[in-house]
Amino acid sequence: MTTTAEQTTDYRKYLDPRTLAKVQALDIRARLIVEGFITGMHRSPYKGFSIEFAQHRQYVQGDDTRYIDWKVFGRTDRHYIKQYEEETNLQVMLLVDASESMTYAGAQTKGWKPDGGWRKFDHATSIAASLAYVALHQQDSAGLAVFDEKMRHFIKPSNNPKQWRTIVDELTTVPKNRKTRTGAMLSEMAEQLRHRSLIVLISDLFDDAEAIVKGLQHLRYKRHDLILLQILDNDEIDFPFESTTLFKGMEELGELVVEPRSLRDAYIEEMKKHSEIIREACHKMHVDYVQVDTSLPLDVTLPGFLATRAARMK
Amino acid sequence: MLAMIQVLAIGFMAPWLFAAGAAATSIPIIIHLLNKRKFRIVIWAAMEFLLAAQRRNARRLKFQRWMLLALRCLALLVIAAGISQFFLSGCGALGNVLRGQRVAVLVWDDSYSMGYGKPGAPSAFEQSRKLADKWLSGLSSGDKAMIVRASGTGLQLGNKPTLDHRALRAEIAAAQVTDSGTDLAGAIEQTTETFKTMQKETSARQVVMLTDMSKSSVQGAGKAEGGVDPERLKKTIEELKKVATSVRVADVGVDAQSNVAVVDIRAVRPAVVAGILNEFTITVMNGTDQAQIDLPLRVTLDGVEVAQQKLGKMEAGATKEVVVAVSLPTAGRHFLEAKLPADLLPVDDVRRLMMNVHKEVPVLLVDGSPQDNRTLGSTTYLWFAYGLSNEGKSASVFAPKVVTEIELPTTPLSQYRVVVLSDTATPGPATLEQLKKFVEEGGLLMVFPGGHTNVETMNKALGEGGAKLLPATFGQLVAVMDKDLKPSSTTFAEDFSHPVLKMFGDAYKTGLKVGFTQVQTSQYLNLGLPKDGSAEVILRYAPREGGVSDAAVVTKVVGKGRVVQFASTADSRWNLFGGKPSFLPFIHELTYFAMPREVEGLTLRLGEKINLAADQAVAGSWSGPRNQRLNVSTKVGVDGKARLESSGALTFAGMYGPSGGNTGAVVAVNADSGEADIRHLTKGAFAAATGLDATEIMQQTKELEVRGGAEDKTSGTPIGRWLILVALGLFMLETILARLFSVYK
Repeated sequence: MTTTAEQTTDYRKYLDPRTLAKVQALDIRARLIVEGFITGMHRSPYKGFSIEFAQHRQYVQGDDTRYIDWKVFGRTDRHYIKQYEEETNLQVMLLVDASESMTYAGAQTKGWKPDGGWRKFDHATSIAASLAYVALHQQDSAGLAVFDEKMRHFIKPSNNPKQWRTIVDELTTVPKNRKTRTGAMLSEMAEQLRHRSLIVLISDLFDDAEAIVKGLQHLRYKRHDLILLQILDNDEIDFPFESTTLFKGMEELGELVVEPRSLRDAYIEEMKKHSEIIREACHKMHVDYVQVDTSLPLDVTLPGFLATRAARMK
Repeated sequence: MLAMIQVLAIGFMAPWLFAAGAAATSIPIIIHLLNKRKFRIVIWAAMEFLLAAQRRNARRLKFQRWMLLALRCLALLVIAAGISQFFLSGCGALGNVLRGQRVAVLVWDDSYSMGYGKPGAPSAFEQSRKLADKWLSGLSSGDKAMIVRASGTGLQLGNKPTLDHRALRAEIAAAQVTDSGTDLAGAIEQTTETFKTMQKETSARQVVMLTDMSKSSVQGAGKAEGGVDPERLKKTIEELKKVATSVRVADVGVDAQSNVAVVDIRAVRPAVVAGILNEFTITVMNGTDQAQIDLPLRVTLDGVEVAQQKLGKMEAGATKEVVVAVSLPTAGRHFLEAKLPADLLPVDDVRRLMMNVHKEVPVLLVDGSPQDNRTLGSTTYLWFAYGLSNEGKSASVFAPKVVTEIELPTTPLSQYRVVVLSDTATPGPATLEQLKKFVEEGGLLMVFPGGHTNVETMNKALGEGGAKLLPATFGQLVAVMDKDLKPSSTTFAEDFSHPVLKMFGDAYKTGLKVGFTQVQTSQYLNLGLPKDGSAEVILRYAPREGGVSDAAVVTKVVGKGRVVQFASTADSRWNLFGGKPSFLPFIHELTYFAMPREVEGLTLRLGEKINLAADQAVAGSWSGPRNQRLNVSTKVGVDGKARLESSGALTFAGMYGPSGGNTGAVVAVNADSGEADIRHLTKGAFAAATGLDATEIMQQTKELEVRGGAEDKTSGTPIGRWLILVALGLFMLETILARLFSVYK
């Protein structure tokens, strides 16, 4: 029998992008993430407080007193709480950015990556697939929207068991080299979604910050819950380039020859300024904002998702 | 500013190198441009943030980039200039092509004071030999070098700058300290002349002087012979500075240098005569920093001690004269030595005088009005005066002989030291020629007027219009009269300032009646003194009316000899001087004063050649101190007389004589007395005495090693080393700034 610590170490290796990159199939990749995460949690995500009764268990301090089964108390003089199979009408909408900037695969960390590298888009699709998997297994509806400067694919939320396969197939589609209009896409999404949903935006947010904030406001106005996952390569965070480099901008943003060391601080400052605008706006709108480094394990995204879902269910 | 000018000067001095340096400065620019072309390509997503960062910092980045580029270029330019100085010196002929010929001169003091050294320690000369060798090693193979020895002996290592450093090194190894004094001025003059001839073809002309900085090397040594002329030294250094690119002094002396020396020995009288007590003046110098008490001085004659004397107290730096009376038993060649106890510089503790001792001093009296008995003519008083000794106790030094003026033309004058013309008629041309030759070769001629004196013809023949022998012009006869215009007489003035009259003056002060001021003169010829000041008045008559004091005895130097002219007669016809007791000592003192010293050539100075009368010794191989060998040969002089001459100069102090045989030593040579004061000068004092900059005087051995070696590889300035340091500083600044600007990690 392995210890908890050993198990933790063991499951995390499946969340490491270096491991996941070796797995070509997105569905298997997503399952690895979710299973790895669950193993680490030691608690089933499939147990909740849905309408269909599942089992009793003894009350422990901290449990919600609303779920105490008073009948059992009357018979046994002990406190038990009722556990139900979850059955909700939560609608999860995954918005994945498929613009050209999402194809960046860290120039500085190529060593461990397969051909083509571990793109931000790979990271984004893995997360999206994982979240869809979790959501559908909790009887939630899950949908997908893939966008760049336009809405390229849209799959309406559904809790059909085949929905996950549909989403995964869609995410496997190679993105086109197009510009992004994230802010506009958010507004468009706000108009398109009729039901109140939990919207998970997975993007590098390389767009005008004001436009993005405007889009978020629009979604919140429509009473949607939001989780913002900003996917960034480690190069984009630390800017670790040394020698003179010609940076050719994606999305037709021109090119620039610079001495990277001399511009590093200024670049990082610009990045932070952009992120801060969004972070601050998210904070005001009670939107979860998580910056995701593609070089780190993927499990950081799941707790945020589950916590938000739980809060929604209360 | 000066440094910058020097840096720029490199460009003019070595245009090829300057061009290379300028090209070197373009390296950072080329690297910069190449870097702009050579880069990696990254397809970048977060481009708008990069562009924004670049836009916001464009001006700063541009400034930083140009600043670093400028620093790199400047650093390379400076380091190229710095390195070039070392490079040029080290690349021999190539260096010469690039920057022009360089010539380096070492003025090497090899005077005898350089032989000073404490027991167990190397002498200053040995230290200087090492430094000379280092100096030579510090030069590049393409540098011309010359060593000028500053001892005035005429010895030079190479007469002109040479590229043959090996030969110079061998000569440095073989060089010996001389017994000569320092002649910095002579050495510097030679250096200046050398530089002047090479000024156009050379880019750098460096001088290093190796000296012990003794006081005597730059300052006059008082009465001692061979002393330095400070004004001449300053002037020569001033001239040197005009043509030299650098002048430096390396001091190898020590603070405690001290020395006592016999600096002079000479006979008091111009002639040394056998059989009587002859007085010799010996001068001793205390060249130490403290007073000396009772130094013992020993005097030997032909190696046998004849006198010993304690010198009493001698203050630091003072000289003292002592008079020693020595009886010389026989005529002929003798040598006298004065010795002090040996000190750390023994060469000047002994001084020698080689002399010919005469049996007597022959005096020729030419009587113009002889009587039957020759002794009763106009020269009677003179005959008595010269025939008797001063003290009257022994035979006289002088041997007078009386001749008539008819006999004069046939009398060989060269046998006499003194010729007296008394009341003679004007000499004929042949006699006049004889007399002139006699005086010019070192004889003493005395002229007394009288009744036979034709003033006009005498002035014409012997005066300015003729042989130019007379100090003054004979004028009108002055017949002394009293107020009533009756014949009267005058006396000599009471002026005893002339050295000849000193003894009378001393007696006069004590009130002793010596009969000098009572001499009555009734007639005399007025002596017209020339305006050029060539005539010296020895004695005057008492002032006449109107305060005019006529000259009674005048003298002047002619050639190697001297002429004494009297205003009145030698007999009693015009005055009564001859009958007075003061006449004899006056004539003796006057003769000693006026009689030139005989030039025998037996006691020589360093650097002189042997030049003796042929009868003094034999020709052939001669030997001297330190196993020196000389070739002495017989030559006929312009006067037709045979003389002995050496082929080379005498370079060491000591005794010289024919090798083998029993002739013994013939010639004595002494160390230069001008070198005796070897007290060490401070840097400031030496600088003040020479007009050099004190910063160019290196005194500590360590300083000498550093500056005498590496720095001599530069073009005469220490700029190269500083340029390298400045360049390193610029590189450091560039690194710091680059880190600050985040260009480097």
